[in-house]
Formats: sequence, structure tokens, C-alpha cells
Amino acid sequence: MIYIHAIGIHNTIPDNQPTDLKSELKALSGKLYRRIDHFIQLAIIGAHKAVAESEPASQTALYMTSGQGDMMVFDRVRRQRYFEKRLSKPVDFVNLSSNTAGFYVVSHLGLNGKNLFLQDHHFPVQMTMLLAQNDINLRREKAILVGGVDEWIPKPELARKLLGVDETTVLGEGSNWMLIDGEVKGAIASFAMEPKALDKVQLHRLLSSVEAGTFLAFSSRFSDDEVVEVMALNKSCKRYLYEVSCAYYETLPLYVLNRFLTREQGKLIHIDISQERYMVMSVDNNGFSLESTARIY
Amino acid sequence: MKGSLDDALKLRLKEMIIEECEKDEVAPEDINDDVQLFSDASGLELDSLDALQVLMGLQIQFGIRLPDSKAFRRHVTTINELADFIQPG
Repeated sequence: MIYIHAIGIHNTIPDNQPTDLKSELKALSGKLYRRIDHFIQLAIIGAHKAVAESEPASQTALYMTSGQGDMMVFDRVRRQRYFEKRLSKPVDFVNLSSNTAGFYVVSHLGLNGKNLFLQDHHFPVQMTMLLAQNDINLRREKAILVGGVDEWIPKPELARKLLGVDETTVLGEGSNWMLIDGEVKGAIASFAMEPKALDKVQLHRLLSSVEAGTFLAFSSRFSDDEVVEVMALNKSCKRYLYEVSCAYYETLPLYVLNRFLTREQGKLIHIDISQERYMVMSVDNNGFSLESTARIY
Repeated sequence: MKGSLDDALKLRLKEMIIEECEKDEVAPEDINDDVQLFSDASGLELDSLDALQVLMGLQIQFGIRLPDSKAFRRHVTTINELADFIQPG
């Protein structure tokens, strides 16, 4: 079993321009950072919030994922190279690699463990959580700080094309993190996920047997009809509506889990869909002490 | 006019260094015209990556292309010497 020991949420809906994170980062950490762009600032802020109180062991691993990576630095370098016909700025070139963000996060937190940046076209959060779950269960890692980071792109039309969402989708940004390990002591919730993508029959079988009162959250890739169909499978389940509090970004599932843990008591099952395959994650804070939840930022 | 006598040019150079090296906490007047920029005495704590940033800044903002690190070390010393290199007078 995997246990969540701390979470950090940073979730915003920018209003036509990126939010100023530099001053927020300075206020939060007391440090003045340079050479880092918006995406990296975002990553540090979320990770900092997650572990500000809990002081993870220095060997804690860091698994980070993103739907888009550091898209804006890529766009800047592309512009410099092909339109302005000049070399990229050295710092931009260094930060072009999305896993640079992980380097800055571990430097900020003083972590010396494994540092991974994971990408998956369909399920970035779920595949990262699955790897983390396996590595904890197999005792390859004792504790892992898992984060999902996506920045808001000031060219919404381009961003919607990249994300494959329709023209009306409001885009947001977020940096959501959880510190997990195999120890129940001091935990704020448990975490579990199905180890493979399910087909529709397997999903229906799973949901028809969940305990009464379980909350269900659906990724924004579900149509209204599909949600109705799934909710009808087990009428004792309640829908967890998180959608009003956020706009779309690919690592939103981590936000949904974290938000639930800050506001609800019970079990939440999060379901995502891509190409008619379903990934299912769950968190449960039933029976965990309120004292522990003081570590929720 | 020699660059070291051109206050406007020296202000532009200082602003370029602050911008390129993201030294937000430094004001142009904090940079002494006669102190080696890449030394402890400057208080700027600039390193090799900053040198690359300054190199790019000189190229983009002043049209100055320094071909190698030797040329950089020779000309990007103090604000006065850099200004004289850009504008010999």
C-alpha cells in the first residue's frame, strides 16, 4: 500500500497573461532565483508547498511529469533560431530540456535521490504514479515526491491544438505534488491505482463493486454522456465535481486528488480515458488522523 | 567621444548586464565603472554562464561579436574598458 504524507497545490486560471511567479516564489521561499523561467518557477512553487512542513529525507526521489513540458522556452528558442536568425540565449538553451526543472526543484529542496522527468502522451500523471507505486512496492525507493506541472501558454489557439481540446476549453496552469512512501505512520491518506489500463467491461466491473459513498471524478476527456453512463453503474457513488475550481491542463488529475484530500473525507476514484482505455487512481483519507492533515498546504 | 566618457553608453551596458544576468536586486549605480565585473570585488557574483549571457547581450544589443573567450576576457573587464572597446572615440 502507498501512503500520501504531504501534498502541495498550485492551481490558477491566468487572465490573458501569465501570472507573476517570480515574486511569489521569493515570498514563499525567501530566495531570489534567476535563470529559471515560468515553468521551472511553477515546479518549485508546487513542490515547495508540498514539503514546506514535512522536510523529506534527502534520499527522497523526485518523479515529475508534464503534459507539455517547458513549452514557452521551446517557443522562445525556436523564435530566436528561425525568425530572429540568432543563437539562443545560453540559459534558454540549458532550460530547453524539461528535466532541468527537476534539477532546480531538487536543488531547492536539498534532495539527493533519483530525479526523473516522465512523459506519456495519453496518461502522464497516471503513468508517473504507476511507476512511483511500483518503485515503492518493490522497495526501490523509500519515498518519492511526485509532481505534475503544466504552464499556461499565452497563445491559447496554439495550446488548444497541441492539447487536442476544443476551442471553448479554458486553459489553466498548475503544479501539484504529493509526497508518498510505504509507511502509514504520519500519512494523510492512502493511494492506489489499477496497474494497467482497463477496457470498458473491466471498468464497469470494477465500479459496480466499489463501496457505497465512494466519490467518482472524471477527467475532462469524458463526454457528459459517458459520465452519465458510468455513474449509472453504481448509484451509491457520488460524483466529485471539481471542474468549477480549475481550468484545463494535462496534469489536472493530480490537482483533483489533492483538492479532494483538502476538502473531503472519504474515498475518491479518479477515472481518465484515452483511446477507449481507462486509467483508474484512488485516494482514501478515511481513518487518517486530522492531526496529520495539518501538513496539507 | 570615448565610451568611458559616455554616461549614456555606460548606463546601457550596466542595464544590459543586469538584464542578461537577471540581477534584479542590483541597480545600475551599484556597478562601479572601474571594478572588474567578473571578480569578487564587483559584488555581482557573475560566473561563466553569465559570461555567455553577456556575450549574447553584447551581440544583440550592441552589435558586438566577440569571437572567443580570449577576446571576451580582454574586453569585458570593467565598464569603462568595455565602453572604450565599443566606442573607441
